[in-house]
Amino acid sequence: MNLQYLLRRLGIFVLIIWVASTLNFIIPRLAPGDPIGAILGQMAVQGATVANSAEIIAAFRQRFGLDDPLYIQYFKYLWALMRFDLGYSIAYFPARVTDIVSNSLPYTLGLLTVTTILTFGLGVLAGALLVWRATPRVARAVITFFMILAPIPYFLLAIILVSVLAFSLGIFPMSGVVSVGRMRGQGFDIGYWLDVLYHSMLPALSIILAGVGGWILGMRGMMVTVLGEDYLTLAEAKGLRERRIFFSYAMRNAMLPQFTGLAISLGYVVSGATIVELIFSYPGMGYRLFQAINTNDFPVIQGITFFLVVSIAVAILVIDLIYPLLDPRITYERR
Amino acid sequence: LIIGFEGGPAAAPEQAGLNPGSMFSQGHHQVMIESLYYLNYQDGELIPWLAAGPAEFNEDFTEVIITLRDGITWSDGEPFTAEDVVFTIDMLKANQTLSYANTVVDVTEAVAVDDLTVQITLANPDPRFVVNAFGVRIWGAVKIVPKHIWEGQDPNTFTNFDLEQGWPVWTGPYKLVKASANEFVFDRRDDWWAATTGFQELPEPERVIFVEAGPDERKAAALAANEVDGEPSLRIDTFGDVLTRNPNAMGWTEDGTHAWIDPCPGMLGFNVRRPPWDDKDMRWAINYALPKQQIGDATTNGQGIPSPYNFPLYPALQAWLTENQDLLDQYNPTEYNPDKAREIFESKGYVMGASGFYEKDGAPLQVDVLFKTEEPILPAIIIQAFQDVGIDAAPRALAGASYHDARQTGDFEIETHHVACGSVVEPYDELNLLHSRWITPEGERSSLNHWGWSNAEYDEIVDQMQMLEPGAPEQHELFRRALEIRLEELPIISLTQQQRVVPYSDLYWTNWPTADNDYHHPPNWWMNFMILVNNIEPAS
Repeated sequence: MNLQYLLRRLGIFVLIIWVASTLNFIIPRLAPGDPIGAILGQMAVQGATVANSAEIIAAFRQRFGLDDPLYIQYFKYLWALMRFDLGYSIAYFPARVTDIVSNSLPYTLGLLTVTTILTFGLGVLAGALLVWRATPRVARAVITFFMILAPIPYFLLAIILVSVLAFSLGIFPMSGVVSVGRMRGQGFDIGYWLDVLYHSMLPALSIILAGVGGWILGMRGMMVTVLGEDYLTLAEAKGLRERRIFFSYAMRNAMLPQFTGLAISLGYVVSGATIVELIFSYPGMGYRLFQAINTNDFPVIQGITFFLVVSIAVAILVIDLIYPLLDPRITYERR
Repeated sequence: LIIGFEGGPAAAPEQAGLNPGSMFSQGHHQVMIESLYYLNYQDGELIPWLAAGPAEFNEDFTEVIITLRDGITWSDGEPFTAEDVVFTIDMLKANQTLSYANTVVDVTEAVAVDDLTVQITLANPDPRFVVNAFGVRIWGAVKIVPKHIWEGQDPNTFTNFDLEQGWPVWTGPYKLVKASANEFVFDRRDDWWAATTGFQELPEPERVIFVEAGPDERKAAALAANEVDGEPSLRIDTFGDVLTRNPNAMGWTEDGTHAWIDPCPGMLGFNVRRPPWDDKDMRWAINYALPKQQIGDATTNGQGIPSPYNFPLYPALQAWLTENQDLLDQYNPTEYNPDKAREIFESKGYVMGASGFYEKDGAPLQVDVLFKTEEPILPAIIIQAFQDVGIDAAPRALAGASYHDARQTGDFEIETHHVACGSVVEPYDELNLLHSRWITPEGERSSLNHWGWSNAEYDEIVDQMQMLEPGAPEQHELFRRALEIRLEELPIISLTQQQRVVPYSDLYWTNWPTADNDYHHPPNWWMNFMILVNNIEPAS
């Protein structure tokens, strides 16, 4: 790996983040609706006759710097971002955006990192097996069944799972993160974490079932093209074992584009799975983003999308840097 | 005791201060924070709680004396005194963005006469000051904070949260022991002042848990499985399904819709700054075009309650309408009569165009109707009704902040609101919604009277009513005159009563309030839930 390549990649990385952050600043402000209006609306719904709204609005606007000219707001925003200061939530003032994000991020990361990697692993293996001639018939049938699930949106699957497994059969809890009234004990409370795991099973299952089909299809397509390659014929002619040919010759080559997909999926993890989180009341990033958009809570929207941008950019950077290790045909050298 | 809370998993569960986005309905103001008074919708009585008895006003309602109960202590053992009340009022006056600060802006001075007596001076006569600020008129009230903890803090950024230290400190019978996005757990304090002084017995539930309720389907499932003892709301048809699975589920009424009437009826309002809606005849034409029964039926399994006037169906309040039944009969605002609507349009010079819509001078009679996006059925019915009488109507659905923005800044022609909260036990507050003093130019934000309607005589009546005690006999004559103007002018149209099932289960806990056992109104996301917690009993 040479320095020039690294610098170029890092430059692109910074550029991506700057452009995305700028868009991130502009887009929420193009939406109609004033965040302060949402607070007043909320106060009105709560039954308060908001008689002195002018003063309240003025106080809020000043607090959040909404009266500054846009370019001032923009530079303040960039400066704050550089210091990872995401400011205060408007709707939940004085909660800091970083507090809200750090409350939600563990749930999302825990749920989605695991499900994304599992889905990827299962999907890629199943997709490869589907076209491998030595695969038993039964296995093929099972894999095909999972492919049928692919076009079903994951949130629909989630509702079906809740209805069948949680409501009718009562195997899994319907929602939440832990059992009602469960307190975390002193030190490392294994029972508590098992309870957390148990509560994440249904949302995880819905994401895996709905996602795995896509990976299967992609992998199957790649495998088909690889199967006709001369090096497979050569490997067979050499008398290599079936398993070795499958993993090291066929799958390894077919998987390259899938890795790019995985990296991008992992980048998206921090944005959460909004609708699954809504259905299961899982307090992750997706739910927060949904709430923030609903209340025009600019700082929270910006905070969450900023995390998203950074994580996708990091994922792409990482894949750019390790790709040559996966595929020797790609080098760090400029041709 | 397990109760659901709405609004999704809490974004900031550790905000227990007084900002509008702090945690209140997650159990805090239901079981941990107590109010000076609680307004009972069933009999209109203001129940003194932290206060020892009714507040005493001077003759012209510019001064009020509130006496506190003796022996009240905070959860950390410190005595609760008049100093705390004065401190709270001063703090709210200095920080107008805090919750309920707007109810004390008119206070010029609050003084602790002695430990148990607070004297409050008002800038303007206000006989409703106590019920509006301290009476939980709707949802909440001013929450008195402990001076010894809040003094020296910036109330705008103070989170009031530190479980290890015993915070938040309030006076109520429960203390917060867990706060997370999906649930809030409160444990009973056996040293609660009301129990030690003999004012109340200890409430029966030893632990109260508020859990995130989720969408309607999830609320229904939890209730059907008796996983919760109560939920804030459930659609009427969904509740019907729950009843078939769980005989212990119960609503406000034993039959019919099982619903409680929400204090905020559904309405439709005109921006009277914009023609042709400045013409009262045109507004009446719209009224004739609206099938109120159908609008109500759509969300209530055919048991809608069309509303002639923008009052919720509460006994004390309805009495004011009943005594003016002749006016309601004369104007008959619930009449659905599309022909009359068309007649009015034609009398105004509109002619039916080739497109099936009325036109005048080549311009079609067009209107955009503002809706909330989450409104499920209402837009379809209303737009259809408009088109049926020859108006080229289109829905304009906005979400959350955008909706409130459009409404508050007068950026609409016709708007609907499913919550037009006004009066609950006496007529003044609803009438005040349309006082001209709230009008702002279009584009600027208004807090009330977003419709821009004004009428000098009406203003004068409302001003007079404001100065009079709610129970004063002169109120009745004044109300009658105001009502007649409102019916004549029809700046806003009342559509239907909002029927809302507030479901409970009596499997584990009994003596929930019902229409037959109406010791109090049933909301469990309001501050009044304190009264319920103190009245429910274990089932066995």
